Amino acid sequence: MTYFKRKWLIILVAGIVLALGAGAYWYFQSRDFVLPVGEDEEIHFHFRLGGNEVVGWSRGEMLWRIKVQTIIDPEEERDRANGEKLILQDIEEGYFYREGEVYITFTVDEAHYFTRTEDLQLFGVRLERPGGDWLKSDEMTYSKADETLHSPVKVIGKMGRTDIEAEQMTALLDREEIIFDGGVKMIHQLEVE
Amino acid sequence: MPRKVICLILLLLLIAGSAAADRRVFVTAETTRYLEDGVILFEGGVEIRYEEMIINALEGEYLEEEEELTLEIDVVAVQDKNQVKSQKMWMDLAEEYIIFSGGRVETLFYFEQEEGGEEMPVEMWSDTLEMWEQTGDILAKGDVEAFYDDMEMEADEVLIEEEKDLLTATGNVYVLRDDGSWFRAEKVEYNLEDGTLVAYKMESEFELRGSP
Repeated sequence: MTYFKRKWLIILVAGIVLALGAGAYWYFQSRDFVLPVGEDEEIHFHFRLGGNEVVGWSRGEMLWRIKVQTIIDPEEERDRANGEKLILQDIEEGYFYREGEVYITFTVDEAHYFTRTEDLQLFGVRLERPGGDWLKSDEMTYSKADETLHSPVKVIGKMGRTDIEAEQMTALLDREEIIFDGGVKMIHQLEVE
Repeated sequence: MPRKVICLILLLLLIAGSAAADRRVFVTAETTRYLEDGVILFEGGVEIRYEEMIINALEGEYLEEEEELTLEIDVVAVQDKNQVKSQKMWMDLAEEYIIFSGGRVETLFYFEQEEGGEEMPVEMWSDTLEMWEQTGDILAKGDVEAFYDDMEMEADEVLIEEEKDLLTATGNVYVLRDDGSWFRAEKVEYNLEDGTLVAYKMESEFELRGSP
């Protein structure tokens, strides 16, 4: 091979390597990018968008994760007291985490995420725990500050061997305590002898 | 085995199965708290319905695993016309065994004096009252006072066996009748259906009337 041909071959190989590198960089950046919202807050970001997921964090620990297809950032919602509201639609499934483990799975028709308070409003929601317990409500709010899930409207569900219905519900997530309020009705199935 | 017999056995099994599956407790309350480890707390206007019994109280606690129910404050348990009032009630739902306690337990228990006849109530006050749902027996303990028909009775314990229509009073029994007659005994058995009374180690005074 002449010196001239070898030079062009080196340039060609270098070009291919550079093109592959640039392609890979672009692919990974667009696939899993970090959106730094609320940079003036203590925590340097509120949530991460990537691979069609919205994830809520606290002190480096994942609190919740929602698999979502559509995220809407309505202009008119930006001046709200509790921060910018993002509307999450076409949600596949969501998860609440404790110590890195999923302890509640939920399906939801629509979710609103407030970027300043980091609260999550869930509409048409059904929560499910690994043991099979479930709760269903038209509306629930997850408060990050209180670590609570509150339903101001009727809740129905099954807890262990008990069917339950109440006008309101508050789940204290840090204490694993659930309070059903107002006209609570329960049917408890005793163990069959 | 004939087909009819097999069908009958299957039907009986189905009935038994559905009866067992129907062991349900209905609860209403203003507030219910689910705590860790299967503890459920009830607050305000608590009503429990279990089989034929309706129990009302202001507070309650249920241990899901143990199937134990505790109700407190103004407990009123009603079954047909029978009624028990107390400040505390503990119930083992698996064994269908109940203890009423807390202050004086007030009991109103109805018995038929004869089959198809009028029902007469036994009114009773005691420190505690134990009840076995399956047999319908009740045991009142501690400074028991009972009233039935024309009779007033005091004793340490009173056991009422529903199936036998038998009231058994034991320990420092004192019986006073409407006519003023009285006696003391260690034990008294009183048949609630026919009014037969058997007293053990009896002591009494009789006024003898007649010409001197």
